[in-house]
Amino acid sequence: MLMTYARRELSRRHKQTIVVAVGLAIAVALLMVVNSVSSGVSKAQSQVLAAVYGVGTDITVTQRPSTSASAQQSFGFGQGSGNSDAQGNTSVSSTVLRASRENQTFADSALGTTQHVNGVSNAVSALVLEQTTFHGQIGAEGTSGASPAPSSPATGSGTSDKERHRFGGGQFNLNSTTVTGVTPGSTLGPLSTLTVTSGRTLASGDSGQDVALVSSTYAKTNNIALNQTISVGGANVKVVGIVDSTSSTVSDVFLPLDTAQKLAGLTGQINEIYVQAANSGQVDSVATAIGKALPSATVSTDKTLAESVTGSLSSAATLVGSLGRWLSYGVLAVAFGLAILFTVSGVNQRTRDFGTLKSIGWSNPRVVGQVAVESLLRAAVGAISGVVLGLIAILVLNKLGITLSGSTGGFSVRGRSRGESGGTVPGGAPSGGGGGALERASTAVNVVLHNPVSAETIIIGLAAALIGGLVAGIIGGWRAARLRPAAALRSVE
Amino acid sequence: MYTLTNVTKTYSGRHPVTALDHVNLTIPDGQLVAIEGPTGGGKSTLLQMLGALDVPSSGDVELGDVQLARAGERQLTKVRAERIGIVFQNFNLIATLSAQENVETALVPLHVSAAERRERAMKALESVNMADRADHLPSELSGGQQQRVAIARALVKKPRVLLADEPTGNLDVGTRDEILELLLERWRADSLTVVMVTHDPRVAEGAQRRLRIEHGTLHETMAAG
Repeated sequence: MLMTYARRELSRRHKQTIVVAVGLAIAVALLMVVNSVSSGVSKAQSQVLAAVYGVGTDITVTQRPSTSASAQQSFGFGQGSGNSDAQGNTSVSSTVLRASRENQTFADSALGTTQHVNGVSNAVSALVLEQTTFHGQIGAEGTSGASPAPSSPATGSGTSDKERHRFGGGQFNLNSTTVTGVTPGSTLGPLSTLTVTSGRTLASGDSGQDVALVSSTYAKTNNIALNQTISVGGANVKVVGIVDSTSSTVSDVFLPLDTAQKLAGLTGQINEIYVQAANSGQVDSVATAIGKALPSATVSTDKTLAESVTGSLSSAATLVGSLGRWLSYGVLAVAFGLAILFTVSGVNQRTRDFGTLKSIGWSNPRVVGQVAVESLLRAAVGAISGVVLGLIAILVLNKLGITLSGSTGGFSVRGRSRGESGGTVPGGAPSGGGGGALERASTAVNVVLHNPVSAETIIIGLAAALIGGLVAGIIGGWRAARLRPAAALRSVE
Repeated sequence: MYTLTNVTKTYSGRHPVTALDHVNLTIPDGQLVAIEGPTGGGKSTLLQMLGALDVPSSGDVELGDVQLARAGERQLTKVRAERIGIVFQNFNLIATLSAQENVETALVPLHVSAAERRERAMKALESVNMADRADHLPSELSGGQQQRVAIARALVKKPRVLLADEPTGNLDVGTRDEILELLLERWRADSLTVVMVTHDPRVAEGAQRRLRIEHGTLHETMAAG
């Protein structure tokens, strides 16, 4: 009887039914789209971050450099250094392997401290280094043929023009190579971003060995083949694998961590820790705990890293997070209001009917239930229509293949972008500050926005509409039931 | 048995109206009573008190062992569902339900199974000669037919009391007589207590007892023989 009566009444008032259902359908669809796009943008941000920091990293631990650590690099040559040729030109070269100037090194005991923090499921350390090679040729004195400079009476040097020594000129090259010491066999951190294109990756057994992986870009630029040896920090290491990376920034060379520490003279030192939390909901609390355990460290989470993401991806996140969400809530409120208004209006038109039903023994809860069921049926029509509409809208958005760009502004790049060769600064003088790629502070990643459709999205949409229908039904039913039967019958007599 | 003691009903508002003024009345079980009077005299208000459709401003209304004037809403609903059948001047059928479904609405509060509801509804329609129109909507029935369905709805739950508020008020003379005959037939067959409100003397003539109410005051015009 309940359902029969409800269906008949909805059919009788089909215009009201359609208006309410359409309103709810639009609200549900908008809610679904906003929820889906929000998830898509969030996933895109994670992709950007994963591209830089590797998959699975929830927290990174670094330490800001002290003033001395960021001192300019210098190369010194003692008297008699280099090799001279018959013309008196002297060739000199020097290689320096040192920690990246972006982050200070700290004791690797911090890794153990981090691993023992409650809520940490995995943590690995890394040592990011820069290898800079200076190679140049200094010309012999006076071989330039330049006229002697006039003497300066003020100097009172007492030397004649013939005796003054002049710089013979020269040409210098500066090569920079990024080297990262990684934990062999780890599934977190820089190693997790690598895909082996030939050879193998670094396994646990490689600890302490003079073996290396090189990026495919670096290998191609420097004509490095598998099983070839390269010079790192003055030592010869064997290339056991050539790799690509999912990260847009990739180191040129990867060494086992202890090998990198040994070659750089930084035994027992690291400058980055990658942490994975046991529960994604605990990331913030775990980060706080790590910060307390390591007071001098800089602890960054996905959230703080996400705040550094700029570009159209960031704009989309803001748009969806604020305007989109509030718009969907607003439309939902309007739809709820419509449902309530039309339900109450329908009840007012049926005052005599409800008065009659109460006079033959229908209780107040039964009357409220009747109106609530009718309202729920109406809402169900709107909910199902809204879900279909929402799914179509999400499908269209995904088909459009919207590309958003995200940059992790404010974080240093440890390597160089794919396709870019080792930093060489040609010219007559060293750059004094290392390679140009190392100076760049951010990197851009383009991601195609994919808006997922999850069961949660659909359930949220359905629940929103049905709750609205239920609320409207209860309010309308209460209005129908509150009158005494005589008053209800009298209202139309 | 109905017992009304000093029942007064006043409708408040800009111009308060006393519809019932210290009414005292006793109606034994099985009696057929007609209540007459001019429009606005208090007939329908008195019926509403008897039907537990409203409560008096003061006084007592008893139906058997139930004090209707003091009962809570739940108890009043129970009385309306089980003991009282009511027929209205305008039939008051639900427009979207068929004749059979309209009769079934009276059985819904009794928690009867759907199958039993359908069976009893059909029997009730048969008793008023409307079984062949069971699946017709009210809009497909004449006035007299709709009133027959309303009578079936009132009697399907086998009440002890049948209240009829101007049951022939909207019917032509021929149909009026049919309906009146039907009501008398059911009164006799089911040993009902019947209280009819009417302004038609022809309808009142068939009653055992006739009362008249004017300006809220009730007096007897013909005692039961």
